[in-house]
Amino acid sequence: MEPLRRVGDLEIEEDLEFQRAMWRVQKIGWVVIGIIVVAALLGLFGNGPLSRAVAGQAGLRFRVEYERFARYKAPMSMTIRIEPGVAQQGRVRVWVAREYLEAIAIQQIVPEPVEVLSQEDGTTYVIQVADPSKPASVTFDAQPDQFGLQTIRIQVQDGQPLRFRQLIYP
Amino acid sequence: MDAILRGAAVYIFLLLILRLGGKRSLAQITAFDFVLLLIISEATQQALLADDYSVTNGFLVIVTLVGIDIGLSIWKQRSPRTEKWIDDAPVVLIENGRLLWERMERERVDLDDILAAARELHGLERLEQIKYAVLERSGGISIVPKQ
Repeated sequence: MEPLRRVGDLEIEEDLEFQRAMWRVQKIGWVVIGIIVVAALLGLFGNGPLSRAVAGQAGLRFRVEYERFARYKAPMSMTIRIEPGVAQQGRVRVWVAREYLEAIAIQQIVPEPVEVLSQEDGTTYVIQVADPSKPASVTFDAQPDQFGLQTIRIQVQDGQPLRFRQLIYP
Repeated sequence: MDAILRGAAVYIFLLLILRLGGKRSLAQITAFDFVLLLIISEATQQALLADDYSVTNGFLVIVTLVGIDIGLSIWKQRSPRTEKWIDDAPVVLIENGRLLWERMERERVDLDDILAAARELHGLERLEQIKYAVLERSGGISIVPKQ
């Protein structure tokens, strides 16, 4: 056992050297807490301007509005906006790659697909469109079941698949 | 598996954040400190148990928390340095009747807090009756009156 320190008449384990270091660490910690709060307000942890994102690609006739940052088991949504003239016979086929479907639990799809086709590498949702000469959209409401960086691949009709990424916090 | 990871993550995070808050942050000085403690525990509960309400999950989380606590206490026993970083160390605020302002400022303790402790613990009336005032690790202030 260490010999007891004395401050005046007090036998006390005071350690000013440690205390100063601790105060310094605390100050740094407060700054870090401040940064985290501001980052969270901006949406670094989901639901904010930094988190809102739109994926699209030249030559593709749709784009996807999604959350760049999502959280494990927290509700999130993704909207696929389809340009006019894409639908054929009043229907649009939206294909989502299997990896992503395994990472999330879909709560609902609006509008509800008229057909859902399971494939080896993903699932195709067939959506009925009222007027193919006007833009259409499909919204997926889901909850992530896995965390980490996810790569999402979405294809509309028979075009090129669109690839983008989403970070899911634990 | 994730029950253990969740328990460990919450333990470490809470330890870190409460240490950053300083000795006085949750010393239950005011009624609101107590309410804050309740709110924090409420927010923690979700992260600890997630949506798994099984008894097994609850047991695993408790075992993890107590296990880490035992582990840390053994480590603290062996290393006084670790003990200080985890449990903090007391700071003398009044030494032989002399006020140490810089420390009081750093620990965010003011004269009113010391006088309140003096009244509560010893029924002292004035500052000059205090010989030593120490801010303890718990966040409470202990007072040694002059004879």
